[in-house]
Parts: sequence; C-alpha cells; structure tokens
Amino acid sequence: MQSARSLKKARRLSAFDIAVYAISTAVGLIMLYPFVYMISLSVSDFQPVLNGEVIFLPHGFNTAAYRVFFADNSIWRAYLNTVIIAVGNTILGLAVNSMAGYALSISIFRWRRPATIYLMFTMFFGGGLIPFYILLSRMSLVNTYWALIVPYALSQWYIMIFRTFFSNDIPESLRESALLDGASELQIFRQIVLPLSKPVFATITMYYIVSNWNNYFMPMLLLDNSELFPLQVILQHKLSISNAQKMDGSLNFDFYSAIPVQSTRAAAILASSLPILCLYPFIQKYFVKGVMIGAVKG
Amino acid sequence: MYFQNSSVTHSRKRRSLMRDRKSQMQLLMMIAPALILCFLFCYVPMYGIVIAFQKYNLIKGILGSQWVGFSNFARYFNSMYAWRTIRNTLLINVYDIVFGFPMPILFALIINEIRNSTFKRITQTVSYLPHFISTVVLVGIVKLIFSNGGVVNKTIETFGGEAVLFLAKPGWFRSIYIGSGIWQGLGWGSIMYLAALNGVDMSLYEAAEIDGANRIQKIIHVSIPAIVPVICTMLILRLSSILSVGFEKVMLLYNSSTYETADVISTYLYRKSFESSYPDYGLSSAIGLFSGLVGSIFVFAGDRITKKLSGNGLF
Repeated sequence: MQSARSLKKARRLSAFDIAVYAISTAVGLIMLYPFVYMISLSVSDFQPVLNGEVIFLPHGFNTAAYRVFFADNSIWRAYLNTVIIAVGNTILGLAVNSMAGYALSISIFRWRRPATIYLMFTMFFGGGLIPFYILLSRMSLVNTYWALIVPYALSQWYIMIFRTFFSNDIPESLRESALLDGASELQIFRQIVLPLSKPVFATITMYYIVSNWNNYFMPMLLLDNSELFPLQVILQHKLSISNAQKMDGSLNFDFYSAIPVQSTRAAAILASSLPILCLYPFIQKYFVKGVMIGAVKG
Repeated sequence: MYFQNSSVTHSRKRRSLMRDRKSQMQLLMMIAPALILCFLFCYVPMYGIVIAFQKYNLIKGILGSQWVGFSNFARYFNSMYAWRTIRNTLLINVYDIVFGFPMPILFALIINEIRNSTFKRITQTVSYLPHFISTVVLVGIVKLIFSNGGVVNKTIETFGGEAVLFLAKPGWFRSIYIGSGIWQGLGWGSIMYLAALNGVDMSLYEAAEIDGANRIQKIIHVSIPAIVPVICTMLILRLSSILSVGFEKVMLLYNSSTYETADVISTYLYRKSFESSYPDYGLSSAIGLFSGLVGSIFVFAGDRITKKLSGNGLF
C-alpha cells in the first residue's frame, strides 16, 4: 500500500519537477552549444559562414578548414612536442610525488612534519615569476623541453592526494608484516603499495595529461625556438592570424584565402581539443575521483 | 630461562631499532627528490625577492646591481597603473565572487532534485565538459561567439539591433570574463556540493515531509544547511586568491582598447618584464612581492576565521 502510493507519487511530475528538468536541460544545452557552433562553423560551406547564416547547424559540408590545418607541418611538430613534454612531465611527476606522498603517509617517519611544512610553505609564498625565469635562464633550461618537464614535476597538491590515498586505503599492517619479512621501504612501495594504488595513479596521470595538453603560458614564456612549441602555443598563433595576414600571400595555399577565418579558427579549436574530448569519459571519471580524494582532509 | 628470555627481547628490541633507523633513512631518500626540486624551484627563487629592492641589471646580477630601497614600490604606487591594476584585480574578483561563486551551489541544488538518475548523470557529464578545454580554446570560442560576425551579433542584428564590438569595449570585458568563467566552471564547481548533498541522511527529508514541508522548504531547511560547511570552506579558499586572477585568460582576452577595465596586476607585471624592450625587473618583482604578501595574508586570515567558525581550518 505504502510502496504503491510512493510509486504513484514518483511517477507524477509536479510543477517543481518540470522546472527542475527545464532548468537542467537549458544548462546542458548552454554547455553544449559552443561546441556545436564550432563544429558548424568548421564544416559549413564558405558562403553561409561569411554571411553569418551559420548559427546552429552546419550549412552544407566542407572539410577544407581541416585539410588546411593538418597540411601545416608545424601542427604535427606541435602535437609531438606536447606529447614529449607531457610524457616526460607525467613520468617524473608520478615518481617524485608518489614517493614523497608515501613517505609522508608513514606515521613513524620522523621528518614527516618538518617536510610537510617545508613543502606546504611554498604553496602560499614564492619568489614570483621574474626570479623563477632568471633562475631557469641561469641554469640554461630556457628554450629546452627540460624547462617544462622538471620544475613542474613537483606538485605539493598531488603529494597530498597521494598521501591521503596511501594513509586511508593501504592498511598499515601490510607494511609492518612486510618489514618483518625484511623488505625495504622502496620494495614495500613498489611491490605492495603500487599494485593497490592504481586508481590514484590513474587519477594523477589524467591530471598531468590534461594540464600539459592545455598548458599555454609557461611554454610561451620559456620557449623561443618555434621547433619546440607545443600545441597550445601554435594554436594561439593560428587563432591570431587575421584576414589581413592571410591575404598578403605569406601562406602558400591557393585555396587558403578563400576559407573564412571563422572556419579555420573553429577547425583549429576542435582539432586541438579532440584528443582531450576523446579521452573525456576516462578523464572525467578519474578527475571526479581526484576531487573526492583531495577533499578528504589529510 | 629468565636470562634467555630477556636477551631475546633485548636483541629483538635492538633489531627493531636498527630496522627503524634503516626505515627512516629509506623514507628520507624517497622524499628527497621532492625536497630537492622544491628547494631548487621554490626556495631558490625566493632570494630573487631582493630584486624588488634593486635597480636590477641582468648582466650585473643580484650582487652587482644597485640597491634602491623601496623606490620600486614607490614608483609603482605613484604611477597611474597602481590604482588601475589593483582596482581591476579586486573588481574582477568581487564580481566573480558575487556572480560566479553562487552558481555551482544553485546548480548542485537543482541537480540534486533530479529524480531520474540517467538524466542526472547525463546532465552532470555534459556540465563538466567545458572544464577540460584549455584557456586558449576557451578564449578562441568566446572571440568567435562575440566577434562582429559571430552568433551574438547576428542575433542582435536579426532583432533589429546594432552590432556591438564586445571585445573592444572596456565596459563589456568583466561580463565576458566572468560569464565565460561561469560557463567553464559551473559543473565542475558543483562536484563538492553534490558530494555533500549525497551525504545527507534521507531520514531528514522524510522527517521534513512528515512535518508537511514541500520540496522548496526541504531545500531551504535540509539541503542548504547540509552544504553550509562546504560553502564556507570554498568561500575562504576563494577569498584567499582575491589578488590573483586567471592571468592567462586575461592576457588572451584583453587588448589595448580594453586595458581600462582588463589590465590587472599580473598582466601589468608581465608586460613590464617580458613585453617591453627595457625590461623593468625591479619594478615587476616589487609588484609581485606586494601581491604575494597580500595573498598570503588573506590565506592565513581566512584560515584563522574558519578555525574560529567551524573548529577546523585549512591546514
């Protein structure tokens, strides 16, 4: 009787429910619309784009903007650079931060508190951009991949996520019994903790991939050699090419000048975001996990 | 018998002491790479703070440059840029706190009311999407949407209005900056609140229902009180960065015609040291030090306030 009544109640949509669905549908559409607009601008025929007729769905079909984008060798070079930097930064970062997080998760570790304070202090106070830049140029790191791989490998935030995960999800008794068997801390870490910590490693890996993929400012600041430019720097360069520059013939595509800037820009935006959007289901899952782990105060 | 026993405990104790010393050493070795990187790239640059008190010359270096006391600070605060950049930085943050901060909370409350779990999941997944695009892409999209031939101006023209140069008008900068920030951060920002809402005991809602509460009353009297602690923490974290703005985004979005409302402390600092033909490192370091100090004060003050209010702080 009770359940039948609540079932009936659940089925009936009140005005309140309708408002909830309407608002969330509207929000969802607002979230998606810019992407739809980009797709439509990038694949529509030239004339409708130039006339400003493309505002929602594509008019006609034309892949010229994409062909031009991928015909440029600097793009492939940029993808490669981004991958090199991301892989280097991710591997180094995972190693450094996970080991530090492990050490900090051990309650008998004597340097736990001083090391935590030492690391945390720099989250709130630093020397600033200029001394950092001068330091890197003195170390001859400027204009190399290393400038983007090494300094940003360390992340106090990820150390804390690792620490929280290790101290909450790895039973201390496991470590103690391994110690009795004569294992060293590094062996325990590699053979016992690592296999149990796949979720947190996956999460932090995703964080590194996304932040490297999207990084613009630091590469722009630290690299001069265009051979080394990662994707976002090249993308920004492409987005800032104006109509006037296109017309002056410095870009040697016969058909290039016919393509509306809106289309080339939209195509560049989508093509450079595509890998992230393809990985999105995984990224989203692990990112949400990361927020949850980070939210548990250590 | 007694003797033997005691020697066993003794040696066991000694063994465990040795093992402990070994463990301590091994753990220190494991954390060492992080400590070294932190020293090199976080602590070493701090010595550069002295540049703020020098007429810094890149060739002469810190030891050879002339000391000028507080004159770099004085130059900044006496210039017309000090007021403009500090005001813009504060205003962007204040508007963002007023308009941007409550949005994820409202969104979380609405999501929490969706009964169909599939629909709920899809809405959430879609709303997280903008979080993952880069600032370059975000600004690129904003420019396409608001440009002269973009969809916004086309819509205005369709309804008989006149096209607006949104990206070149100082009056529009803050709205565009904060609006696009809401678009990008709405779903992502709601995760923490939704997690708190999921933790609410269902019996509280049932009790409220027995007392005759309708759904809006349940939101006001059950849901909102449940997320107040999260709201407080988030607000304090947000307040602590009141003197910093998404520098990358401002830099990509502004242009010389919108400096009046868009030029913030960090972009000014950047132009002074990296975009000028005579880089003024002394001045930039002084500005950086000033905003860094104010930022730290806000963090520690915020932490104290949370400790007073809720009994647990950020650290």
